[in-house]
Amino acid sequence: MSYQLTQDQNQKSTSDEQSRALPLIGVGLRHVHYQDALTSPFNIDFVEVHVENFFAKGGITQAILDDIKAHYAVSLHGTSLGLGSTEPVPDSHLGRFNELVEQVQPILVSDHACFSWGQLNDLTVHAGDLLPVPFNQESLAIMAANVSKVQQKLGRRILVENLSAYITPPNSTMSESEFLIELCRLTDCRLLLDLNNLMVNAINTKAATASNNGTDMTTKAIDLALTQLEQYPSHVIGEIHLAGCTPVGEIGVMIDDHSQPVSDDVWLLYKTALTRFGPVPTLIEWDMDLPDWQTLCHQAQLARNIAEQVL
Amino acid sequence: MPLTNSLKKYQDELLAAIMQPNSMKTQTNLESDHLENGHLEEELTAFDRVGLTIYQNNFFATAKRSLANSFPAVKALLEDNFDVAVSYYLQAHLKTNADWALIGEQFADYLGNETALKALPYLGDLAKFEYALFIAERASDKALVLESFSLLESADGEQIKMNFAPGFALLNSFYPIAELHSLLISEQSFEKDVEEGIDQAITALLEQPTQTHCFAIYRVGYQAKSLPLSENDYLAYEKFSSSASIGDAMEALELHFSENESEHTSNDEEFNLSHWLADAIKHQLLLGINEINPASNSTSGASNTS
Repeated sequence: MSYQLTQDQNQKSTSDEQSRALPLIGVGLRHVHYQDALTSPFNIDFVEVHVENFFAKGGITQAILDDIKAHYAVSLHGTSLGLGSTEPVPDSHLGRFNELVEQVQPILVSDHACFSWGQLNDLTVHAGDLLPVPFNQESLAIMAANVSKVQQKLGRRILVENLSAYITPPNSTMSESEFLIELCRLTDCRLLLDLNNLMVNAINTKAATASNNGTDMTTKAIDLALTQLEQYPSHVIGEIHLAGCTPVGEIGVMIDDHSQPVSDDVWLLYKTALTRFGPVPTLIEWDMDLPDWQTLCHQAQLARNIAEQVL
Repeated sequence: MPLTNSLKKYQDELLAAIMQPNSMKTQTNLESDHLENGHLEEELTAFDRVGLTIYQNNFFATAKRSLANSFPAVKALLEDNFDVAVSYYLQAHLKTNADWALIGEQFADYLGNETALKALPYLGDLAKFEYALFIAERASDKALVLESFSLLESADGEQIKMNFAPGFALLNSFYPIAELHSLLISEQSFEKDVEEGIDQAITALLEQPTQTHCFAIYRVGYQAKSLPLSENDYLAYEKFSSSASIGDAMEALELHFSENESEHTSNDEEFNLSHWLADAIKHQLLLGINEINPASNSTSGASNTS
């Protein structure tokens, strides 16, 4: 079975990475940095590109993708599969996703624990966003089926990323960590643990609580995030994302907009995560208000420095 | 586990609240769901309401950014009204493709049919022109296959087809949309002190005598281009690209020209296939000849699929 064969290859790849003293450290590569990334290589181990930015069948983006592949190990990060959608991902979309995986031969493939597809006015629609699902058995069954379908199609294991959520879906019966750990058990996928998302959710949980009754002033958001982090066993973690975020609105909601340097709290979470999980591949995300290439790569160097201290 | 209604209902109603926020029905249902399921009303009115606004704003901002990227001349022409047009477009046309780049698939039709924009009768054609350029830049790559042109002499016309450049498309309009497009996207058009001059140039263009403007849109290298065509050349491209074979296209062209021979005046340009072929190759519009049913060991040109 092709999936089984590739899974063996994945396991070999993972064990090779684990045998290194330090994690692979990468950065998210966005179009404003293409030229610099190709002409001024920095001390980074891999780059992550968004699958959807290369959906065009030809033209300059395909040429750029070939160049990137020639210079760096590549992680393909999806934002469109909507793995928790009750509406199935269209075959044509999954087919194009698969073509890019075959073309790039990435070291990692990932998408999110969210829904994006649905039905409106008898049409299959896509939100263009990562929308939260309730954490319950029904939702888990849907996501597990979708993850299995994607892994079968791609012939390899994928990573599923925890979300930053700005509404609380009704009918949750388990915690996010319980939900995601069970997803890994059911599908043999791994988690892309976004530490900034853990932090954003912790801040927003406090903001929501405070906006209700002003209580719970004693627990710090970082403590909530650390408690969340401690729920995850090391064997389910396949990658870590680090990013910055921005507060908006009067009630202090934090948005995971990837427009800032990694915060001190997230660096603290990263130290704890490396201590707990070992040398997990780590990526710096920066998508809005992008800095110059050197500044972005400096963030990666900070992650490497922490790894050298901790491991 | 069988799918219950509640999860699907939650997902579809949240999508509706984000993608079509002016629909009060969807918001009301979303709210009642939260309440029915014991969600705290205070959270709905504070945290969840802020959250819903974040998703709605993100959807609209991303749509605006994507459409501005695909339709820079339309954005320059409409200025602040571009955002209003995007808002109405999103209400009228649901986003069905996961690729944000393709959200403008129906934007030209919307602009062309929007009553509030009737004062700009060329807007729909300008948008079609722009979107064809945008799509050409994304089309599958193709290579020039010079040796395949020998098939024109050696193969049966019923068994061969022309292989046109990536993103090949034909457009016609009563308005000089290529010139209009150039004016609107030129760097100068964004400088305040030349805006008046640009407006005058646009007015002068639109006051030209009414005629049909024909174009081929295609890509050379990484650059999408437009090529103005005579009506006869346009017709030939139309027949050669849409007919089942070169033989069928030749037959259709001969029929057309013989039927219209009596209407020709001394000013009409004679259609010459040799000149047409040379011109198509010179402009890199025509990349080769494909065999329709090639033998397994033949050397056919690249696929004609864009």
